Amino acid sequence: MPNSKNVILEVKNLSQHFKTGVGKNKIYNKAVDDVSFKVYEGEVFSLVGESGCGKTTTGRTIIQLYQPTEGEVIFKGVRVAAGFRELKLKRKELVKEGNLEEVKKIDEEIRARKEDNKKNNFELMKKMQMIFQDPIASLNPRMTVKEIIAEGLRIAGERKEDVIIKHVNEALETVGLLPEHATRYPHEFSGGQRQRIGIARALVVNPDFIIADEPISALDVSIQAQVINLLNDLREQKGITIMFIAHDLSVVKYFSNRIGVMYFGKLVELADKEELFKNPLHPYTLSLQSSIPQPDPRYEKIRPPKIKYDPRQHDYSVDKPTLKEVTPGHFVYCNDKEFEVYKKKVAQNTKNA
Amino acid sequence: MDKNRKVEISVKDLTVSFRTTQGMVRAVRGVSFDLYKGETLAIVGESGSGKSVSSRAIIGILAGNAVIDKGHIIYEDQDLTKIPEEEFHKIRGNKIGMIFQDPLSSLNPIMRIGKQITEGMIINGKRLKNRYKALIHDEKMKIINAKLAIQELQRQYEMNEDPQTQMSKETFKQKVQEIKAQMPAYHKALRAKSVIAKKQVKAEYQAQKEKTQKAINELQPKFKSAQESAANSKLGIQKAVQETKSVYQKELLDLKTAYAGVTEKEKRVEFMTKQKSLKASYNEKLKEARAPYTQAKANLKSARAAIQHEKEMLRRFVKVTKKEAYERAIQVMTEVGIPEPKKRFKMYPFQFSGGMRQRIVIAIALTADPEVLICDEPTTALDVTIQAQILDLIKKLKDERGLSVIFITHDLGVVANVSDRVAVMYAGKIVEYGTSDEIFYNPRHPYTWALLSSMPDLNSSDRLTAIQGTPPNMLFPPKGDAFAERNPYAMEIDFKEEPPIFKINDNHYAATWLLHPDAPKVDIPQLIQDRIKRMEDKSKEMMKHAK
Repeated sequence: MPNSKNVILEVKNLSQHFKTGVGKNKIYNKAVDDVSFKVYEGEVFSLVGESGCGKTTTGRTIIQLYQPTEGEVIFKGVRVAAGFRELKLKRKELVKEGNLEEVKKIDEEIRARKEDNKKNNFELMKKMQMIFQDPIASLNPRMTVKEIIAEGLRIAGERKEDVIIKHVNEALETVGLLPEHATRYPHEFSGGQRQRIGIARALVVNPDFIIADEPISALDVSIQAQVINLLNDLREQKGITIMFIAHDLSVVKYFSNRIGVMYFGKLVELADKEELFKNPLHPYTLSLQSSIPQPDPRYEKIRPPKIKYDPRQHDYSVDKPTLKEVTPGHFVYCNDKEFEVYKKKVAQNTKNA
Repeated sequence: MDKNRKVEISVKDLTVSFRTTQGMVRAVRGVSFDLYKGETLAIVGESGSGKSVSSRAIIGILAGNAVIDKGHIIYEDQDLTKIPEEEFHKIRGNKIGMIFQDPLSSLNPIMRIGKQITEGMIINGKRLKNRYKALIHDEKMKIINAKLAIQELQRQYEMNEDPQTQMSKETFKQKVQEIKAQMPAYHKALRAKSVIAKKQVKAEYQAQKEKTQKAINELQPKFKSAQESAANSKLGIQKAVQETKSVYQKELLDLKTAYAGVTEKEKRVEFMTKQKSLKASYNEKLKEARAPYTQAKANLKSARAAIQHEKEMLRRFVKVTKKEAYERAIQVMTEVGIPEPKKRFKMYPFQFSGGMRQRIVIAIALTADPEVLICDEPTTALDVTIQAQILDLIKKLKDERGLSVIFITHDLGVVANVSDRVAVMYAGKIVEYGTSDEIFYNPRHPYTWALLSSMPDLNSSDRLTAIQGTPPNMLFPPKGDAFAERNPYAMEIDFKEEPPIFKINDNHYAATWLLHPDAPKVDIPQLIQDRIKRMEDKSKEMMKHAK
């Protein structure tokens, strides 16, 4: 459970649009659109959704593998990434009007944001690390395990070989591998061990915050449990905050404190895990929950029918939806009319309980 | 087990190895199971446990370096491990279909979906040729069997190094000679039969052709008359059409002159409406005038279509035509729930989402109307919501068509959803099998326990018990129980001797020494007991709600 209510990461109106095509055929693919959330220190925050809904893009934007289109990422109170497309558009208009003073102000703002994006602050940035989805593709086959793990240290400025070896061995031990594994190459390991190497690479710089991008979906059942247990231990022993990206709701429910549900680039629901499973409000969350397979044949025979989510069921033609807080800590993406309905529903549910 | 039900496929003591540079990898080591008609059998296990290999052995698509050491796969009184490739063509796809794991890599990216679905039908659908092959089948099989017998003899002769039972070189040669002596007679019979068969098939085709010709001849006068009447009516209506046209032009001119030079808005509007109504009435009249011609044309069309139909039927007698395949493909695509199949028919795989692609793969398997469907991890590459849809689809198809399904997966949640019976595999062996109720509510093998307890549960946050270590290297299969090294309940005997299969009840068997009467009593782990209790409570509650 989160020890404190200290915000470690804040994402404000983050958007990530990908541009494809030229001229007439130019298309903006809104992979992430206006997503805001906070991650508290020591907790596990999960993002779930179907493939292509933008959860991985969110993670990669936070750690600055992409330059955000719009919005800000604030890590430990420092802005580490910011987008400025809207400012640029505004500037264009102002230049047309001839309001030069305002233009100057905006120029300064853009310059400041660009400066923030340059990742000058190594000490801060190395506190944020990522574990990638595919343990086979994310490890360089030509590097030994030691080189893979030490790469982060070297980039952060460590030059002494003995210190590097010490850190590498420590990291290997934490994830349950042996120091003699360091001289081997990735192909000599099994899937679960490779994922451990990926975790060791993230851990070697002593991070406070880890983004785990589907770390278990490429693994076997028995090995999944090993990795989940390892991540659980890390959280308990080192107090590392984890942002967990997955599409398997039963794993997410088991592992995390708070859950955000994403659908086509939007954060549609955000709540504590108990709250989310007790009072699911957004229809997409309902459909996700109704389709979890249970390891129980008797239940499966009589289970309620699965709900299909159709985004056309919302009428957003007049009233535009936003992320609204229905009960404290429980946010739903809806418009005013739906907001009232959801509120009633929660009241009803608590009454019944 | 249930003796009243028909056994569809029966696998007995199947053993498969792969020849590699390091030695023989024993992938499957003596697997036996029965698949009953209309049931779903799930095979569960880690990757590398041999579940895919055994299913591939059933459909006969093992890799080139695979060897079936021993064992039988009995399907329709035939042993699938013994029959030659030619025979297998009739079974693979037509009787036993397969759905593969990754829908993206099992479809050809540069081929339109429609072509991929119809490909199999067109290639397998050479009806006359198949008829000819069926006629000479017996004679051909005699030759092939003789060849196989020689091979078998040779293998026996070479493999058996025991001096007591080994046959002498002379007897071996004599036996081979005996078989070889009969070969010319077989070949002669084949040649004779093939001449007869060719004649017969040709005669059949000729008969059909004559029949078609007769039908066409009957239709021909109708077609001719329709053609004539169409030509006549075209001439006949010309005058009437011309008349209506000139009348309309005159009226239009009158109207225009009447309103010439008018600039007031109301008057202009009046003019426009009048003009419009004039045009409408003209169109009506024109249609009336043309009516006989349109009627004649329609007649001609139907007469032509009738002749075309006869010709198409003749073509269909020879082979599956493209049109026939198209119709069937559209039908199957609708069945697996692809919207707008006619439009989708012309698309490429990359234009489909993952779930849709998996539906296409299922559609391809279904075109040949198989009786048995092997699903090799069909939902592993898919999302939860899509997975639920595909599982529902497979269940629906199974009920509608009475399919028997072998479902291979490593996800126990999926197993509970689809299966009637479950077989748990580990290191090339079935360690536990039984009805899904028994496996989930009364698991007995430590490996099943380990699998169940390494799965996160929705209703608890207990620490998961991961299985320690990795599966054994099958290059050197372990002595004794393969799971012993990772098994916290392992006893001394587990490392020495392989456990036999113990019967728990009629629907439940497991291979572990823990079930031996002399073994110390070991309860099901607390974690699983708790979970079973929770599951029971939940399903009871659900039952109440359902009532």
